[in-house]
Amino acid sequence: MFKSTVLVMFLMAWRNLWRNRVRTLILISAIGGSYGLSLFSMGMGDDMHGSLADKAGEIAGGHVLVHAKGFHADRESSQIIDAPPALLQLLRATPGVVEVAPRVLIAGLLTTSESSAPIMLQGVDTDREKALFDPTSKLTQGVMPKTGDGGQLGHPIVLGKGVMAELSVKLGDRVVLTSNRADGEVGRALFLVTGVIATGSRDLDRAIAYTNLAGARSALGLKGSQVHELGIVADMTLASETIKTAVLATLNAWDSGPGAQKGGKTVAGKTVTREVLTWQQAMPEIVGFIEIDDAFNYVFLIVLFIIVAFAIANSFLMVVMERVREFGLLSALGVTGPRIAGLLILETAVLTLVSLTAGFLLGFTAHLALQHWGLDVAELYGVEMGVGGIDMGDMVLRSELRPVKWLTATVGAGTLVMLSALYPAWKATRMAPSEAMRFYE
Amino acid sequence: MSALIRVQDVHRTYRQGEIDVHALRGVTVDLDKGEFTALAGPSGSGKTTLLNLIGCLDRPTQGRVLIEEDVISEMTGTDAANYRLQHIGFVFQAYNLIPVLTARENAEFILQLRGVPPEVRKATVMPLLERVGLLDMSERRPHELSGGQQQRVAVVRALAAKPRLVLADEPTANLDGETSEALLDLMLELNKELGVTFLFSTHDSQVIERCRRVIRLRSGQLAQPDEGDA
Repeated sequence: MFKSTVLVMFLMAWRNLWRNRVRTLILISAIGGSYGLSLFSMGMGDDMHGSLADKAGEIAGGHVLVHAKGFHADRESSQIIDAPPALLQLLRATPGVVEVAPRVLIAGLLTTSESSAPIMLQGVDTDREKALFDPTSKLTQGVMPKTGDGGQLGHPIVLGKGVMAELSVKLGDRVVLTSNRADGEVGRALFLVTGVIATGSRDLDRAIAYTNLAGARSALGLKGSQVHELGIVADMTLASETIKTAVLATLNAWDSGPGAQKGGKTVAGKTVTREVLTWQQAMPEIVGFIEIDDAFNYVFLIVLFIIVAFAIANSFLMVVMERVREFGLLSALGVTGPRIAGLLILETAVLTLVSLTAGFLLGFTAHLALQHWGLDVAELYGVEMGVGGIDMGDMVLRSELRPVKWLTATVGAGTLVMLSALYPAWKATRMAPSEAMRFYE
Repeated sequence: MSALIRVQDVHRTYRQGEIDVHALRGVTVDLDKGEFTALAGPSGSGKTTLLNLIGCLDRPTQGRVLIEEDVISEMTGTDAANYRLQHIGFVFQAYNLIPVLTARENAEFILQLRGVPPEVRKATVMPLLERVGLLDMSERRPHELSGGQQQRVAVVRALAAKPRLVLADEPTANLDGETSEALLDLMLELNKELGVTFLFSTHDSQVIERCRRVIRLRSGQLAQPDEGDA
C-alpha cells in the first residue's frame, strides 16, 4: 500500500512540476543558477587560495623553515645555524620532504662609485632552489651564480632589474656590499654583476639580489656550513604541520644521536636552539586573508541561498493557494494531511533534484573550462595585483575541485530549498476538506 | 432492511465573524442499504452540510452520525481520511478529477491508494470506463474531457472502489439536460446492479424525480411533507 501510494504521489509530483512550465523553469534557473554560481565561485576561490599558499610558500622561502631561534623576527646576521651536508642529507630523506635549500640572508647596502641601493641578498644553492622557485627562469641577462664561482674580481651577484636601474650598472660591473657581519662588525665585500633578474614585481625587482653560498658567507664572515635558513620544500598533499613534526623529529634525532658529533648542534661553541616554522606561521597575514576570504564567501553564499529560499517559499505558498480545491479533493478521497504535505515536499524534492543537477552541470562545466583555459588576472585587469603583500601579477586563476566543500554546498543548498517548502506544506495540511472544496464558491 | 446511515439529532453551527450560523438544527434521519436518495432543498437549507457530515468531511457541533456501527462523527484527521478512503465514494459538482492524472489514473486513484496491484486496478476500472463510454478516452487528461465526461470518470472512480456509500453533491449542476439524464441513468443502473447506496444533494427537479426517496431540508431542519422548496 505504501509503495503504491508513493508511486502515484511521485507521478503526481513530477507532473505537477510541469503544470506551470514557465514558473518551474524560473525556479530551476534561480536554484540551479545560484548553486552553479556558488560551485564556480568556490572552485575559483579555492584555486586562488591554493595559488596564494603556493606563492606564500615561495615568498616565505619554503613550506617549512628552519632558523636559529628568533631569526624570523629579528633577522640578525649573527643568528646562524650549522647545516653540515650529512644533516641536509638526513633532512632530505625525511618523509614528505622534497628538497632542502640552505640560505644565507643579508640585508645590506649595495654601492657603486656613483650611487647606492638597499638590497636583500640571498646566498643560495641554485640547484636546490629550483624545487621551490627557479630564479634562472626569471633571468633576463647573464647567468645565475654557481657553487664555486668567485675569485679576486669578487663573488658573482645577480641583481633585480630595479636595482640595476637604481645603481646604473651593467653586466661585468663591480659593486660593494656593506652589511653587518656575524661578529657584529660592519663589513664590506666586492661582487661582480653576472646577471639580471626580473620577477614581474616592481617592488621585488628593486630589492632582490642573489649570490652563491660562498659569496654570502664570505661577506658575513661565516664559516663552513653555517647558514641563516633551511627552506624545506614539502610534498603539498601533506599538511605543513605534518612535515614540521617530521622535520623536528629528524633534527632531534640528529642532535641526540652520533650525527651531533659532525656538527649542527653548536655554532662557535654555543648550543643553538632552532625554530621550525610552517609557512603559515611565517606568513600569518596570508592565512588570515584566506580565512577572511573564505568566511566572506560563505556568508555571501548563505545570504544568496536565503534569498532564493524565500523566493521559493513564496512560490510554493502561491501554489498552495492556487490548488486549495485540489488538496480538498485529495483529502475527500482519503489522502491524509501528512500525505498531502508529503506530496508538496516530494514536488520540492523533485524540483531540488532537477535544479541541483542543472546547477551542477553548469558549475562543473564552468569549473572544467576555467581549469582548462584559466583566467589571466594581469590580462584581465591590466594592473599589478597583490594580495596580503604577495604579488599576483603573473597569476592565472583556475578552478580547484574540493569534493568535501562541493558536497557540503550541495547538501546545504538542497536542505535550504527543502526547508523553504515546509511552511507551505504545513499550510496545506491545515485546510479542512469541506472548506477547501467550497473555497471558490 | 437495516439502516446503513443513522443521523441522530445533528446540529452544525458555523461561526462567521461575530455571528453563529446554524446550518443544521437537530436533523435525525436514517438511510438504508441500496437506497437511491435525494437530499433536496433550497440554497442554504443545509444539504451540503449534511452531506459533508455523512461523508466524514466535517464534524457535527452536536449529535451523532453512524455508518453501520462506526460512529463517524467522532473521527478526526487521519482516521476520518482513512475511513473515507475505505468506505465512501464522492462525486462533486465540479473539480472532481486530479488535473495531472489521466481519466484511467483518476479512476484507479482510490484503488492505488489502497495498494491494489496494477493489473487488478486495470481489470476493475476498464470495464467501468467502457460501460460509461470512455474507454477510448482513458488516457486523456481532465482538461481534454467535457464536463459530463469528467463527471462520468468521477462516478467510475467512486464505484471502482466498491464503497458502502456514494455521496454526490449537486452532480448535475454544471451539466446540460441531456448529459444530466445520461449520468443519472448510469448511476441508477449501477445502483441496481451493484447495490451501492447513493445519496445526492440537489435542487435539480430532474434528479429529484428519478430518486426513489427524497429527504427535504428547510432552514437546517427536515421539512414537513407538505412544505415545498420555494
